[in-house]
Amino acid sequence: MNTVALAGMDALSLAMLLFLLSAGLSITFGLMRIINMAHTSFYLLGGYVAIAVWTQTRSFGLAVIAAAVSMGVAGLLLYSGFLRRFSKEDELPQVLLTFGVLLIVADLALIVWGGDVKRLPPPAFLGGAVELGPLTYPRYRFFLIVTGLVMAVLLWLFVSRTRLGSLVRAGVDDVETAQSIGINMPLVFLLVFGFGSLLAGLAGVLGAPYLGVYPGLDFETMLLAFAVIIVGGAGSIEGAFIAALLVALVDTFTKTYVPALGYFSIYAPMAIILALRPNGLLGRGT
Amino acid sequence: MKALATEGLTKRFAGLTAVRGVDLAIEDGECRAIIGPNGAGKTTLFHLLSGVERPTAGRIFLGDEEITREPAYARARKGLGRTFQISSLFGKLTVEENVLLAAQVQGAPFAMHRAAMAYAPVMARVERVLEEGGLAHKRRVPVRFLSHGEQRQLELLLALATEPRVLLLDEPTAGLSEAERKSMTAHLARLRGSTTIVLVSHDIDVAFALADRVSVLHLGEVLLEGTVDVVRQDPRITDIYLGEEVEAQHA
Amino acid sequence: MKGLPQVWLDYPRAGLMLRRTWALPVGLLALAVAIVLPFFVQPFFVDIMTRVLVFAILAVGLNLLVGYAGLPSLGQAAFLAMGAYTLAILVKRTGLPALVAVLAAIVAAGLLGALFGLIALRARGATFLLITLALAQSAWAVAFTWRAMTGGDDGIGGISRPTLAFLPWSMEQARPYYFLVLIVFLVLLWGFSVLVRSPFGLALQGIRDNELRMRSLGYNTWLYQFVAFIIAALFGGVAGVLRAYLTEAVTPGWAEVTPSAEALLMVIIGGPGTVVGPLIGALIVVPAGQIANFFTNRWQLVLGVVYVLVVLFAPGGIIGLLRRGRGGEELA
Repeated sequence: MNTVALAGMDALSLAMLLFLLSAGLSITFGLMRIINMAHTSFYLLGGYVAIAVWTQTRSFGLAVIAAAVSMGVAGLLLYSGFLRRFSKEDELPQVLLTFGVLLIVADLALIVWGGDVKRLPPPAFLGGAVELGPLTYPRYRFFLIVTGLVMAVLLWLFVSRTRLGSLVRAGVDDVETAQSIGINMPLVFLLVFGFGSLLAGLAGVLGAPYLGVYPGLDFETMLLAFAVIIVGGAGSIEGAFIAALLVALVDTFTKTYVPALGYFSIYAPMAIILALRPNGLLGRGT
Repeated sequence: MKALATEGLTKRFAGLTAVRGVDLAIEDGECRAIIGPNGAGKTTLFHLLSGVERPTAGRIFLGDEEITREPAYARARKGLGRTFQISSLFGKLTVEENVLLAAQVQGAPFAMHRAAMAYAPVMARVERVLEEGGLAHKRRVPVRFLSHGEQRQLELLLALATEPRVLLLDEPTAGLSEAERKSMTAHLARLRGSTTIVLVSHDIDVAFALADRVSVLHLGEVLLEGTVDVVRQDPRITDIYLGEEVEAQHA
Repeated sequence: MKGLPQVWLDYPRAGLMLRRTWALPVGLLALAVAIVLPFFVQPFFVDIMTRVLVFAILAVGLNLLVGYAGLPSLGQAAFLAMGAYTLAILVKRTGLPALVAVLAAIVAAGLLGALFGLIALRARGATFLLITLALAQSAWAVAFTWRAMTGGDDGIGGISRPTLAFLPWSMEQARPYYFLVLIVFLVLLWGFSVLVRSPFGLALQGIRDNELRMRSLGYNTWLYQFVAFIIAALFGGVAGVLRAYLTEAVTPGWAEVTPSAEALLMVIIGGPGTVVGPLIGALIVVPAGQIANFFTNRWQLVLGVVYVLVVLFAPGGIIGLLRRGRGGEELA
């Protein structure tokens, strides 16, 4: 019973990280039809930047801010410098270009930081373990779960209750119409892309104490993130959340109980969802 | 047995019933025009017939076969051809190749060992269609170099090349100049009798010029139906179209 | 398919480039060089030429999906790996004659293509691409983790080339093996050119240009795309077999994303939707990769930069640049 509960908690921690990582990707894809293959590069770099900042300042908080902000800026640069030129129809060139960026970043990171697994120690007050009823669980991972839930609620509120959020939703529904009623979609695009990258960087720094940062992390997470997008559908925060839970649960439990099936586990939900609802569970914005 | 028939055809979208209990019975060789003001449900009805939309209720028959549940491509294979209001062509291919794609469907479209242009009977059909459509001299031209009128003509030829039992025409004269409209109407007139035609048109004059019978749609229902003469004189026609004009003036 | 850049679609439809006046002499010259060159260079270099042909076969198969069907796939390397591993396992662990193993390997790759197609064709556009990527990564995962079958990280080694008793030359030598591969390549290229001019090939291009219209004409578009997937996978399987014999070993790295990306780059650089474009792409990318690997460990970086540059400046590939230089669209 304890194993199941522990695996479940681990799945939740992973789910929250995945959600943070994928939320930005989902909105970006749903809104702009951009598949940013370099999205998980922001995740990777977020972790490395955080570690670099922490090594200098010994402050976890600063590391978090630095990672999130730097990745937000990087996203703004990537979008305005390279991706803005592509129209909605040019899906493939965007994918290929961001794929090129992914390769470049992966190799540069290898050069700069080397091949070891780097870890970011969590702040003291988040260290150790916490008692949750009969369970003893690492406090940091519990913090991840709580943070993830809070972020999910905040994001959902933002998208569904704020004015900017409604502009985003309008754009996800129909960009041309939104533009024709006066919404400055290019600006919305820019902000959304930057924010999505910021979230990826945030996920990177928050994930660093738990999963570590190492070369190849970007490719490994990419698979999971895309599975979340495919299962949850594009353009939907709720979809990304549910899908992240689903993917993380399936992934964690199969890795715990049937390790041989590890990499395939996510294909089951993905294939089923695709068979029944090709747009994902809650996908919008075709 | 009717060429094309529907029973109680209904389509509901969230909160809106676009087509309500439409019964149609179109005879072999008949030319039926479906007219009605904006929002009458013509387009939705067209989509239901061609297979783009699934009906909420009701049935559709092509000949003696029910096609209600059939996807669009299966209906096309069974002989239901259609054109598009905005020309939907294969822009990078030549005129000849466009028609060939249509003409070869019934034959051996999975063959991988011979050139598509080596099938003599199919190419003969392509030639015939091009000649009758007046585009034979442009057969090697990539479609995107054709004039708008020529593209509309090719649009029709594509549907004809499949030798359909029933041909659905979606606003065939939309966007055409006066001269082009005359030419298109003349071409369509030549088809009457040999092909069963169902045309949806906002242009009443074209509809009356071509059709044997007319079905008038209003708010998703068949308001009246009959021969051109009968429908033309019915006062309700002017009502519903006039109502539309009045609304437009007030808007 | 939505997403192919406009300039990609600016290609004449099916047809061997040989129909154009400059292409025939160039083609013959290339063939002459291909036949004569191996006698004047080191075996190591001959192996590189063989490698170019192997990847050209892979890229030609991918081109059917990308250039002719409008389905961009990042999973082509998985088919190569499937063919290679199946061959390796059958040859090393069973007593099956080489020919049977080769055929089985190719069929296995085709089956994998069918599986990929069933899953990926539920979607279109960028989602389709993602799914092919995800599927390819799991193929890599299998190769990497299933030690018992695939030897895991180490792969499978010691695959010796078949002895073709009816020939006086041993396939163990670089040059005879090169000519074997050259013959296979030429046969496949010819077959491909017939395929793309056939009703099936024309239909694929129609689907690429306007899937909706094809459906309304009566084509079961999904089935065409599915068959195209299988054919692309079969080409991949052949490439896998040939590569396994070339290096006499197979490693899981063959199924990674990077080789898939290289194959896609070859298609793009050469010019998608043309018969020989992938060969040109392979002629550029393969030696470049060899050179880069020789001087630096940074091939991934170089590849990434090339990707970015090609997308930004030459989305139609080399052939696209040539055609634009000659004044645009050619009428047959």
